[in-house]
Amino acid sequence: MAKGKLRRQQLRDLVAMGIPAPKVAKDKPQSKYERMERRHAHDAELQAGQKLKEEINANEDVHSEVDSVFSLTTDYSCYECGSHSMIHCEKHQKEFLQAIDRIPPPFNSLESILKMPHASLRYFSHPIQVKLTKSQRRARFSASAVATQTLPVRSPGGFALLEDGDGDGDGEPKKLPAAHQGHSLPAPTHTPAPVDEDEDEWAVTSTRKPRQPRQPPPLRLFANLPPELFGFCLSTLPLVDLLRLMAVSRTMQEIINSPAVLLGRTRLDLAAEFPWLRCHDPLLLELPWGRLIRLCGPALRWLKVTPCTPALFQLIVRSCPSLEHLNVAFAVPRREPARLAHSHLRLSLGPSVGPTLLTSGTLRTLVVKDHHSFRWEQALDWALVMPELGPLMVGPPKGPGSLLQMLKIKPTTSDVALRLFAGLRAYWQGTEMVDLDHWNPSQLAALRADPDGWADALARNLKSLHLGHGPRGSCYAEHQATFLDDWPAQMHLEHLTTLRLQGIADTATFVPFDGLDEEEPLPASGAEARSMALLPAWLTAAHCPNLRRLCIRENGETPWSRLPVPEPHRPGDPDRVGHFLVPPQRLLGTLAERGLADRLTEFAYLSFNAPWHLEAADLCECLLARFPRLERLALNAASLLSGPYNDALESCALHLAGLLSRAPALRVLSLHEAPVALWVHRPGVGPAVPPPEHLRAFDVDLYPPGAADGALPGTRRWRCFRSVHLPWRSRVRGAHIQTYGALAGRRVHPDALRHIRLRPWDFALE
Amino acid sequence: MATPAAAAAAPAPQLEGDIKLVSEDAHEFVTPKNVAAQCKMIKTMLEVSEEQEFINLPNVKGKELEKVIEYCRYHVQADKPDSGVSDNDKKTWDENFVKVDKETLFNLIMAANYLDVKSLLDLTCATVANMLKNKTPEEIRREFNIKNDLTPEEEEEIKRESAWLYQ
Repeated sequence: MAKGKLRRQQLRDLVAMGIPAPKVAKDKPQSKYERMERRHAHDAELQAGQKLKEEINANEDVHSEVDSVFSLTTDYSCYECGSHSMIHCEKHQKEFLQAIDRIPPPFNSLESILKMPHASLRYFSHPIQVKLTKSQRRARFSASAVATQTLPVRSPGGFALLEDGDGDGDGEPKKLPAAHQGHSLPAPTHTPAPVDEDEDEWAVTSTRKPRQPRQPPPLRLFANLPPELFGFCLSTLPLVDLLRLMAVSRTMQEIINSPAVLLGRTRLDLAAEFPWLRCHDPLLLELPWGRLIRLCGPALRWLKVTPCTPALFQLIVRSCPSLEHLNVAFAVPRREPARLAHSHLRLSLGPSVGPTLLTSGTLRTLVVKDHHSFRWEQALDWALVMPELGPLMVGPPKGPGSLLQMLKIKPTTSDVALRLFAGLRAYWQGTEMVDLDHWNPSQLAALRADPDGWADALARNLKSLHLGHGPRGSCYAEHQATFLDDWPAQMHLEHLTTLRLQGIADTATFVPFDGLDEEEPLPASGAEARSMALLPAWLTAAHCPNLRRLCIRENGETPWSRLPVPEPHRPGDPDRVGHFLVPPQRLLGTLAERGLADRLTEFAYLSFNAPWHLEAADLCECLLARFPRLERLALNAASLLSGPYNDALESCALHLAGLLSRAPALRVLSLHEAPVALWVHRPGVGPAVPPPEHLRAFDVDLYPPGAADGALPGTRRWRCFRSVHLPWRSRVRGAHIQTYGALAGRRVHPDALRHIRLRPWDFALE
Repeated sequence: MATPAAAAAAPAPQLEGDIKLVSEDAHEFVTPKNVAAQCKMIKTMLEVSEEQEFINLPNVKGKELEKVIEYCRYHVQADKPDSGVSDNDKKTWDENFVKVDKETLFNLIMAANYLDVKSLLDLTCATVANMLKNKTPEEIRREFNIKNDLTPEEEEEIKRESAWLYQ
């Protein structure tokens, strides 16, 4: 179309819309200087438009919305009516204006859109690419100026601008419809096409492509990093960061929920992922763990949820059919009465529960714990009493691979124990670990009364056995011992590799009691003999040929531990004798006589609140002479001290150093109740004895409960602690404060030192 | 004739000489074959045809290819038993290596993925993961130019459910 013809057509369009024809500028530039000035102004406008384009392209939100505007129109003609100006199309202008409204400021005006240079149109993904002619561009710029009343005349050869934009001479621009408020009006650039009533025919004859459905914007995450690679990046993130990322965008959620990131996880330890949460933390109930379980459940093979709630467990049972290992510990808020907790458990695990996990046959390990024993029976109740769950949990195996390899439970009532045992009878043959700690006489009696010869079946496969003294406040060790005595003498625990005896000897010092107030310690005389008598008779190399790990632990929960710990401890103090029952030397001698000395590779003899009257030298010699294969040793450091506390430190450290230097097999040493100064320094003296080179790990329980106060007279705990890792800094990677629960990762308050374990070799802290 | 097991156990042939790598934007890099073979894709191509003198890499630009070659060259040298380079030195070098702008980092990820350099892919992905750690959703959006396409209702629900994440 010729230039003049186009201009005339544009003028007719304006007139047709009620806008008077613009006046032609009379003062056309004539001089070279004026032409140059106008050209520079034009170039400046183009540069400004280019800058605007770059700004828009740099902003994802703006870019996307501008893109949507250009998906409606390319040359500002109506995408439906073709030749109409979009802004003047009564049918579709609203959508166009709304699209502009969605553009974030300051680009949300038609003026900004119009300022964009023509080249930028090609950048956006619109359905139709129309290259505007020079005159069209000129008209567009002019129209922008018409509407805004602010832009100067910019078309050298084009028509002049109206003074007020609407030609009515009132000095005010033409009023826009309500939908147009806030936007400027461009003039139409096309001849209005004749209205075609037959839309179908129009669709056939029109050269314009039908409107394409809007495509979702392309994924531009991380500079177009493909989602699978982005997912690979996320796969190493901790769960807590993934959860944060899920709040970023829906696209991010989809990536996180993909098998490569979250859904493909086969192992989930919520306690490790959220170590700061305690079992009674109110946040527990607010966590989206349920969503995580639902997401990850199908692929999970290993799951640890501690703490767990009944509702969460119900969800696990439903959502995790492939679990091979499940470790849950129930936590019921303390404020919730036991009765309510019980009913809650019943409700949440009622008959409607589909026990898919428990019937899937994939479960190999089930560990169920409860932080409150008085509620454990309730937690166990649903598993055993409910007909739809009990048999399924302990029912007959479906095949060789469906046996529970480990069942670690601590029932507290004989009723539950009986039911449990009845259900477990079929499983004894496949059980490799049994924990009878806290079983009371009635429960043990139920075991003994089993007519199916459970002991034989148990002994056939048993690899680990844990015997304990009974619930807190009771002393069942005698019953445990009796229970053990009932074992046939000819029984051979051929596969038993681990034996843990806890609190057995405690009983020898106290009469059974019902309440703390009524307890009375037994006479000190004879306590040692009584303790030794409780040592299982079958604990011999002949009966347990493969026993490698032995732990004998006198529990600190005996009533005596509630008494203030006197210090300093003097050898032979009659007030203290009677609690610590068997000197290590005596015990070691007995074990050696029974043929176990040259078999054990791990040995732990722990007795909290032991009187420190033992000779360290004797113990060291005994260990060296009789247990040459020991690789791991755990002792009470207190038992190594002889004489008054402070005076014993140096000699004890020397003895221990001598022991370690002559025990080349020893790799891990754990000292409980260890005074800090034993291995670190003596105030004012400096480092004591450095650990030998071949020792790989060294655990120190600094302040176990009951020995906190007064253990380091005259030394502030904090200062003492801070000095711990200093002497070894050059040799090890540093010391680490491994704390439990809420203290993890935080600066430790001195009062929390009793819970600190130092692991100079394993971790790092600087 | 060697059995399959014997063939599998046979040591890989020593790659000698140089190879020319041509990037997408026609940059050419002449590098020892044993360095280039750190990229499994190139290694496979070299094993198929040892005689070829150049390899076109149409999906990697010159800038990233140069970085990949730098990475491979360093690790070929550092992994030698007699190099005297400790693990800590390597770690430090890797940390410095990935101190690049985001665009380069993402292109490196794609290059490592394309060329199949697993250690480099792990390194770069871990770097991106570290950039995401301990940031609020808003910070992540701002830093990585991510558009929030969640509805206000969805956002509200997430905030309500995960309020503890931001405490």
